[in-house]
Amino acid sequence: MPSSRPPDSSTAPDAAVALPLFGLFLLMPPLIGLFASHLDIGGVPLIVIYVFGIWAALIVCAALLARRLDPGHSDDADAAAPSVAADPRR
Amino acid sequence: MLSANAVLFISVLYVALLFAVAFVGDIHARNGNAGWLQSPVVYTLSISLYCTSWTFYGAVGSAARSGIEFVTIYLGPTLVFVGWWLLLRKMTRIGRLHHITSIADMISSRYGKSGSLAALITVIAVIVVTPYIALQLKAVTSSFQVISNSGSDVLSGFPQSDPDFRLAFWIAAGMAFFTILFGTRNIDANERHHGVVAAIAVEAIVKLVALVGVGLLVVFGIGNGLPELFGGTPPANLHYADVFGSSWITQTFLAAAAVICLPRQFQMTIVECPNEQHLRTASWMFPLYMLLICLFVLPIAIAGLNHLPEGSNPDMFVLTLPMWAGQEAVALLAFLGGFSSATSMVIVSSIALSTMLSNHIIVPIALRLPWVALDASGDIRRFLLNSRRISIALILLLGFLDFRLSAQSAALASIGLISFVGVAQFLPALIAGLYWREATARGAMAGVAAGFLVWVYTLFLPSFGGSFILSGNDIGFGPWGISALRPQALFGLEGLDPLVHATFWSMTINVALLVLVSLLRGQKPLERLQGTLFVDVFRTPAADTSRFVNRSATRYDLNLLAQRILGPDQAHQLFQEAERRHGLMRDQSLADDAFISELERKLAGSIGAASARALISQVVIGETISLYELMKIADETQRVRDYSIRLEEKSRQLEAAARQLTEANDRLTLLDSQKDEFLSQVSHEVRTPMTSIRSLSEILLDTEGIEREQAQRFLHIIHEESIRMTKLLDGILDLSVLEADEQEWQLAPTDPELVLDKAFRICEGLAVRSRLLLLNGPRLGDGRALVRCEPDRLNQVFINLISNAIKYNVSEQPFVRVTSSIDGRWYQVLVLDNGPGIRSDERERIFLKFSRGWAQTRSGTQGAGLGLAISGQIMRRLGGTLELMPDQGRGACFRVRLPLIGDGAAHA
Repeated sequence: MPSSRPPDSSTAPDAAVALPLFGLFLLMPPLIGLFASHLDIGGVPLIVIYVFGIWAALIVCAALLARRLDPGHSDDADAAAPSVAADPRR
Repeated sequence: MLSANAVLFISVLYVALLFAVAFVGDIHARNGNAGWLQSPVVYTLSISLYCTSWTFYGAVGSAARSGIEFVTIYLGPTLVFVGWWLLLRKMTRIGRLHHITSIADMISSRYGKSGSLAALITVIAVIVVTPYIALQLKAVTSSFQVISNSGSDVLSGFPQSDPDFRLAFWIAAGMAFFTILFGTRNIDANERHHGVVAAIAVEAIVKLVALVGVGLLVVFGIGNGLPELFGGTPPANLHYADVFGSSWITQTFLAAAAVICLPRQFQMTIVECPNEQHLRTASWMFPLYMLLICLFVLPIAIAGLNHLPEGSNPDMFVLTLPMWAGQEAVALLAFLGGFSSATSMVIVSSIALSTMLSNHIIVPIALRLPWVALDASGDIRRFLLNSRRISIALILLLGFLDFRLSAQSAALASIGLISFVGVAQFLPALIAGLYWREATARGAMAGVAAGFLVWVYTLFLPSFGGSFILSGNDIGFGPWGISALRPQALFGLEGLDPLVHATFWSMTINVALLVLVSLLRGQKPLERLQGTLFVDVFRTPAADTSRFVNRSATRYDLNLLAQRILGPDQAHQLFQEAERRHGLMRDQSLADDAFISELERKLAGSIGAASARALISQVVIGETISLYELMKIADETQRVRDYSIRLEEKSRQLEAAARQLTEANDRLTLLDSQKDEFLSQVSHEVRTPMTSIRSLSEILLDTEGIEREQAQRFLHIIHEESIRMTKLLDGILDLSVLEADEQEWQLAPTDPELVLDKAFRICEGLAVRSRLLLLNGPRLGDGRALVRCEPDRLNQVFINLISNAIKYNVSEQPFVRVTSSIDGRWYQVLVLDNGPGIRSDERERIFLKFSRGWAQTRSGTQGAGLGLAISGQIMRRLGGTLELMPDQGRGACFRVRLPLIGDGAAHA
């Protein structure tokens, strides 16, 4: 997905915090109980499709989000500095 | 049917392959091209050792028994990894900065490098994980017996005979050999095992391929797709909402806790993490791996229920289904998958546990024993390696014995979950340590110990079904018949699943004690320091510690210590690097704390923070932690406040500087315009006399036969004008000297009356010539006043004032009066005339250069307009004042004031 935003834009860390909470909400009772019905979709019970669907959606969101997050970048910049400074040709 | 020998042969072949992979991985890493071993994909695959044989066989069994509930074991870790930004990112950063070697090391480091806390966690981890290892041995043994079963009940999935303990022993021995070979090759400062990681990654692929292979066979080989499958005998509970209750929540929570706290998961996710960036990939790839593993679990379970005989062992469906379908190759693949998941778990678990045992139990004990000469000349390195090797053998032996003793106990899944509850006891201390600065070691100890005891009482002992310590009676009615103490209904909490019950009580008591004890007792300085470093890991680099700790040690001692733990090569390298940064050190010179801290962190990477600290403190002189510095950073609000105060101060300074600059600029602009004005005035003043001199001299030159009288008059004018010009130039010079020369004048105590007398006498002649009455007095009189001044300069001022008053007085009966008196602490002289006075609009400018306040002069000659400016300057330099007194209708009155020194009257 081509993204017009720069990596580690200000919304990405917030989204990274919100994503697991959102997943928790979707996968925990009482919400998940709504899908435990006798409905089938293409022969597969709805609850199975729901659980695996949410699971897959979380994975996709995490993958998209991971491109915009940089764990190396943090409040202190000096962690990255030495590796930049070490130029063997100098 | 596969013969036992064929299966054994293929297993041995597979194990040989693993050894080869591990060997190649180790060689590559040693030669420095571990590139592919450090890729994010390999990292993710190595994390997936979360999926043990319990997953491989047990998940299908769980699905067959209770439907969709099995996914909770994978949803928990999925949420943890999807939310990596919250927790795992911080853990890997701390793990890297502080060279963390295990979960016990991380928790003890956080709580002031507490050795006892590390030991407690190590003991708990061994007790909790050993049954888990036994479970893996059981899975491998029974799967081997199932696949090589030649009896009639082959498809039941139950081994024909008793467990084959001989086989289990050799499997355990083989794993111990592998682990010792690749897991304890060296004491690495980073505690990474590249060979092991390579083998684990291969095993992760094998188990995924195996399970997907069986799944594809089930869905497309045996049946006709999913609808038909789900239309058959669905597992229980698949359609009922009551699955989603306390048990669902508890299992998800336990799985999430386990993926963080299990020693083997911690080893792979945090300790072996080569690069924080890899978390980014693992955050979605590891959940994806688990999704793929789980995708076919339900279909396999349903197919097993549909096709296999009633009462078959659902835990072995993965193996028995391909056998039922006659697909022996797939069955063999499934066996290898199960074998892989068991071995990888056992190998990494025993590495992690052996590191913990040797770092937190064996080394601390050895350091205290006088006859284990570790603190003198012993080779700690070899001692460490050997202690780890023995630990690995010991752990596997324990696992084997556990399997031997409890071979016939409950289903696979329940043992797994029991140990999940056990390791979840580390979670409160860990999370509090990472996010709560005030959490203390005592609180962590109390919480972990109490939670563990509750776990033992409510879950672990009852799991033996009354055969170990607690009898069946005790479990049912409580020890000594006290019903409030029933292990599975503690304090009368009935009606809960035993797992939920145990989780609830153990976590409640754990968290409550952690919080209460932390709040009741304060922290030690080192705890506070470590707490701050951990909680603020993204703000405070670890190197900062040197600000708070004061200690020193000789280079010789440190070098000896480093050599004994890291080996001569690594120690040499470390010291070389340090010397490049800190400059060359002699053996007896003292190393500062920055270097000692660095060495301590390096050593902690091998033997854990607590032991490293214990060893370092043996050679360190005078260690104090600067509480003041510590408190300064410990308090977050204080830090923010400090920062904003600094900012404010800086902006105030900037403002002041800007204001000064603006003022300076204004002054400069003013001076510049004054200079321009001065120049134009000077040229104007010079031009007037020059013009008359020139025109008169031209007339004298050009006019023939000019009358002598007239020529005399012209020459007179020329002479006068020249004198005026000379005066002007003298004045300008005088003024510029006065203005430029900032040297202090040599001021001498002087009687100003004498000076005034002299000036008066000089001016009397002028007054007579101007036919003006010069009135002297009333005067103070000689010897009544004493001022500090330069008499000549003061004289100049007086002459200037009096001659001005004479020159510009054009009234009918002109007079000038000079008076002197004492006014408070001042000596003052008034020069008063009855001339036309100064025009009110000129009063402001009268002391400026080239300003003449008078309209006309008595003699008709103009002054240069510099006299008052010069006089004003002189008085300023003398520390006195020169003012024009307020207009009183007629004439002008100037006042000169000088401060008296001492008591002027004393000289009278």
